[in-house]
Amino acid sequence: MSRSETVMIYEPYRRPADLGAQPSESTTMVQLTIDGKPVAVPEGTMVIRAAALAGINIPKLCASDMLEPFGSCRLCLVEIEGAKGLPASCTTEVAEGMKVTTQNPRLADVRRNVMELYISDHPLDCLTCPTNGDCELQDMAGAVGLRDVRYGYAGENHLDMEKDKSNPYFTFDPSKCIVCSRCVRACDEVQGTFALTIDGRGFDSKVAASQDQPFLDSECVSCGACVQACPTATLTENSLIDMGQPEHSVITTCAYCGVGCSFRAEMKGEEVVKMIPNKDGHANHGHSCVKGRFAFGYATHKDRITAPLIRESIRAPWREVSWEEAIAFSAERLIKIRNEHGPDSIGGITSSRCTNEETYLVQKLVRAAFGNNNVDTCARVCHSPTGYGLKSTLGESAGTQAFDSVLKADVIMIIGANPTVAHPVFASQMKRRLREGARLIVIDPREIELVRSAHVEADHHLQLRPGTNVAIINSLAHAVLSEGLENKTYIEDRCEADAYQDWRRFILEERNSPEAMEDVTGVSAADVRAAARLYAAGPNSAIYYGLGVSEHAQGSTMVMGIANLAMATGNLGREGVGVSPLRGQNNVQGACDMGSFPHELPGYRHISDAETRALFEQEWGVDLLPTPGFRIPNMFDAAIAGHFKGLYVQGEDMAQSDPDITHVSEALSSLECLIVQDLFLTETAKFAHVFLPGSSFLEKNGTYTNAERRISPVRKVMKPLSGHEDWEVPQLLANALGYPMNYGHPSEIMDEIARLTPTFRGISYEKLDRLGSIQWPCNETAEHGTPTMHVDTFVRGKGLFRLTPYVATQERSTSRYPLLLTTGRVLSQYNVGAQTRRTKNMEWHEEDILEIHPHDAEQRGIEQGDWVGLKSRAGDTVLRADITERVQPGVVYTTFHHPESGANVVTTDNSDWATNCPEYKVTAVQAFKVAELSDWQQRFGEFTEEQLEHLRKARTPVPA
Amino acid sequence: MNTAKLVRMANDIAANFDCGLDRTAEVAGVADHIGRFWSPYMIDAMAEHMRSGKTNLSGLAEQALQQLIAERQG
Repeated sequence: MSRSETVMIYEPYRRPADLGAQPSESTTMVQLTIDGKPVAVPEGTMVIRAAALAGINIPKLCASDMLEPFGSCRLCLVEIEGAKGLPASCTTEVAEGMKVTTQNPRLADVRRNVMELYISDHPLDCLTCPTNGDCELQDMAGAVGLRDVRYGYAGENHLDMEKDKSNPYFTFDPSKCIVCSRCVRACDEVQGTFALTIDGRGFDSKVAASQDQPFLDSECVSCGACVQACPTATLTENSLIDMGQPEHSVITTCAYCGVGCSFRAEMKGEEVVKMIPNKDGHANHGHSCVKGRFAFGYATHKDRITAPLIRESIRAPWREVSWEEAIAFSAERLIKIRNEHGPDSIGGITSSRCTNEETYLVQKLVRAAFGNNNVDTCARVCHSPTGYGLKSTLGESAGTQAFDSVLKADVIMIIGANPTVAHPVFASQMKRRLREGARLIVIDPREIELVRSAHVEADHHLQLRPGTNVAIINSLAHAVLSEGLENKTYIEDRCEADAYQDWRRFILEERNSPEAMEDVTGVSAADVRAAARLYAAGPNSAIYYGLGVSEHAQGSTMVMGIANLAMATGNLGREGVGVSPLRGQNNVQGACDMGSFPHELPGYRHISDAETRALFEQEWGVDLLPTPGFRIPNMFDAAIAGHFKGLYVQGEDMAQSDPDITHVSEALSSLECLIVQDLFLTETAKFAHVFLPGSSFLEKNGTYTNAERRISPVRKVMKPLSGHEDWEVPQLLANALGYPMNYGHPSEIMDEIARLTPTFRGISYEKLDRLGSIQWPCNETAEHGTPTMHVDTFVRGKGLFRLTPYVATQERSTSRYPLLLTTGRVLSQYNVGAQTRRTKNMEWHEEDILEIHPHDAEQRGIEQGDWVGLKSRAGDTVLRADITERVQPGVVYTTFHHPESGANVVTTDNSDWATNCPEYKVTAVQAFKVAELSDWQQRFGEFTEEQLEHLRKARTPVPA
Repeated sequence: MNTAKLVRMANDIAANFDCGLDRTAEVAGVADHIGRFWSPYMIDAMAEHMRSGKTNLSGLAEQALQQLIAERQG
C-alpha cells in the first residue's frame, strides 16, 4: 500500500456465526476439554456450542443456534472419552471432566462418507447455483475433503423435482433439499406458524407447505425464517437469485412496525441484495416478518419523487424546482401567512415513520422558528391515550417492559391488539412462551389468530362489544377486589393510599360488577370472574395492548384502568409482568419522546413548566410560549374556521389515515400553504403547494425508538435519491425563516437531545455503536439503559389509582345504523400502505375487504365477494364482502391500507376525551348490497387522476 | 372555530371525571385538564361561546370552564 492510500474500513460480507446450539441459561459452570483445550461453559450447553465458543468449529448441517437440537445430519459426530460410538455434538450436553475429540482420521472418514451420500443426490451445478459462495453444503463438502462420489449420480434421485416459484420473494427448489428439517423447525420454533412439514418417509421425504400446496396458497406467512435457516439453495431469496452475493453489510433498523427489528442490510454497492434479521438484534433476536425482510422495494420504486415541486394552487400543475427555490418559496409563504393571520396560523406535523432526530428538529422548527406550539404527531391518532394514561398513573408515558420480559410471563392478557399481524416478530416470541405453557386471556371483539392457532389456545376470550373496554376492565378490577385477590402489601408499599381508597370504593360499587356489566359488554360475568382470577393468580401476569384500547372515546380511561389493574395485583416493576403498549409504527414511542405533542417538550415535560422551558430557551436562544398549541384535529377545525393557514408535514398522511376524511380534505383544501415532505405523492400531498422529496430509511442516518423504549440506529446504506437526508430539510427551512440551524450530522442532534432530556442524558451515537441499542431511561443511574421500569418505585413516586367511570360512546347502533364497524390491519400491509402497496406484498392483500358475520350478510342478501355499501353519519364507501365468523353478529370489520377503499370516509370525528385520539374502533354503520362504487370513491378517483396529471406535467420536459 | 365541537369535547372530559364522589376535585380536575391541553385560542372561543347564553355544557363542564376562565383572567 502506498503512503497516499487511505484504507476505508467497513465490514465485508460474511455469514453470521452460528454456534450450532442455543445458549444455556444455567449459571453453574462445567469444565471439559475439547481437543485438549480446557473449556468452561454453563451446564446444559451442547458440545457443539462449547467447541464453537472455544474457537473449534465442528462440521454441521442440521444444527443451528436459532433452533432446538435435532441431530439428523450425522456430520457433527465427535469422540467422547468413555462414551460408546460417535455421539452427535449438537445433541450431547457437556459434562464435568468430559474429554472431546472433534478431529481425527476416524471422524474424518465418517464425515466424508456422510457428505458422499448427500452429494450423490444433489445437483453439481455449484458454479451457477444462486447460493454459490454462501452455501453450507458446499462449505461442508470442502471441509470434509470430499473428492469423489463412489455411488455415481445415475441412481434414483430428486434432481428433477420442480421449483415452486409461487411466493414473490423466494423460490423453493426441492432438487437441492437435503431434508435437514431446518426450514420446518424454523417455521415451528422461530416463527410459530407450523406451516411446513416433512411429507413422506425415507427416500420420499420432502419439505411440504401445508397440505403439499404451493407456498403462496399455504398457511406460510412469508416471514422468511425458513429461507434464512436453509443451508443449501433449496429456499433462496429471489433478490439473491437475481443479483448474486452481497459484498458488504450494514446493521440498521427496520422502518415498519413498533417492534423495531435490527437487520443486516446486505449490500452490493448501493443496492440492497437482502435484508437479514440481525441475530444480535435485541428486539428480534434474528427473526423478522414479511414486511421487514422482503418489502423494501418501495425505496427504489418508480413512484418515488426525487426533486422538489411547487405550485400556486392545488388545482394547478406541479413545477419541478431546485431545493433552494422550493425552500425559499415555502419560507416566503409561511412568513406571509404569519404576518397576515398572526403567529398562531401556522404549524407542523411530525411522523412516527421518521427518526428521533427528524421529529426533534421539526418540533424545534415549530417552537423556535414558527414561534408557537402548534406541533403534533400521528401518535395523536394512535397512542396518545397511552402517553396520557401511563403518565398520570405510573409517571412515564411508555411501556414498562422489554419484549424479552414475555418469556417470564405466566399469564398473558392481550387487549385490543392483534400481534400476529401487527407486531409479528414479537408475536412469535409470545407464541413461544404460550407453547411453553403460559396462560392466555384475549379481550377483543374479534377472534384474533391467537385465540386459536397452532399449539396456542386462549384460556379465555372475552369477546366484548366494541366500545365497552372500560366496562370490562372495571369489572375485572371489581372481581379482583370483591374476591380479595389484590396484592395488599404491594398497594400499601407502592401506591398513594388515599387515591387507592377512593378507587377501591368506586370499583366496588355494584355498577362496576361483572354481573351488572354483563348486559353492557355482552360477556358473561362468570367468564370475567374466571379471567380476573387467572390474571390475579399470576404469579407473573403481563398485559399487552394495542389500538383496540387507545382508539376509543374512552381510550385514556382504559389505559388508566389497565394500569390500575396491574398496580392492584402487584404486576409492575419486574420481569414477566407489566403494561406494554404495542406501538403501531416504528417510531411512535420516539416521536412522542421527542416533544412532538403541542403541550410537551422532549421528555414529556409540560410546556407550562418554567424551569424546563428555560432550559430549552437557553439552548435554542428564543422565548417559548407557555401555552399548548393545536392538536391535529384542532388544526383542521381551525383551518376550516379560517384561522389556521400554513402547515408543514413531514412523512405523515392524514388524508388517508385520519378519521372523517371528508372533513380532513376540507381542512387541507382551506390551507394557503401546505408543505409535504414524503417519498411519494401521498393522499395528503395531493393537497400540497410544496412537495419536498423525502429519503427512505436506507438513505439516512438517525435512530428509531421501538415499543420497548429501545433506541436503535438507522444507518445510511445508499445516497439519498433527493440529495438530502430527511433531517436536513427542517434545517433548511429554519435557516430560510431566519432561525439558524447548523447540524452537520444527526449525532449532533442526539447530543442536543441528551443535553436537554434527563431520560436521554446517557445516549450518544458512540454508545449506540458500542452497545447496539439502548432502552431509555439511560443516564447517570442507568448507564446501559433500563429494560424494566418502575422497579423499586414508580417514576412518579407512588403509583396513582385514577377513577375510571364507564361512559358509553355516542357511537351506538341505532335503527338507521344498526352495525358497529371496527378497523384493524393485515400482516402484509403497513399502515396507509404507501410503502407496502409499492411492493410485492400486494399479492397477499390487493384491496381492503369488509368482514361481515353470515347472519348479518344473509339478512341483507349479501354473498361472498359482493360489493357492499357501508354508510355512517360521516360518509359512505363501498367494499367487497368477506363473510366470516371471525366477527360477531352486529359487528363488521375492515382495514385502511388502500386509500380508495375509504374506510376513513366512514369513521367519525368522535374521539378520546383526554387526547382527541379518534374512535376508529367504533362507528355505527349500515351495510347494504350495491352495484357500483360510492360517490366519494368516484370523486376520489377523479381527484387522484387530476393530481397525477399535475405530477406528470412537472416531469414532462418543456419543449425549447 | 366550531363551538359545538368544543362543547362536545368539554362535556366528554367532564363525563370522564364525573364519579359522583368529590365535586370540588372533579371541577378542579376538568379545569386543570382543559388548561393543560387546550390552546388559548380554543379556550377563548369557549369563553365567548359561554357569554352568548345557552351553552349546551353539562353542569360539571360549565362549572369547570367558569373556574378556568376566571383563573386566566385573574
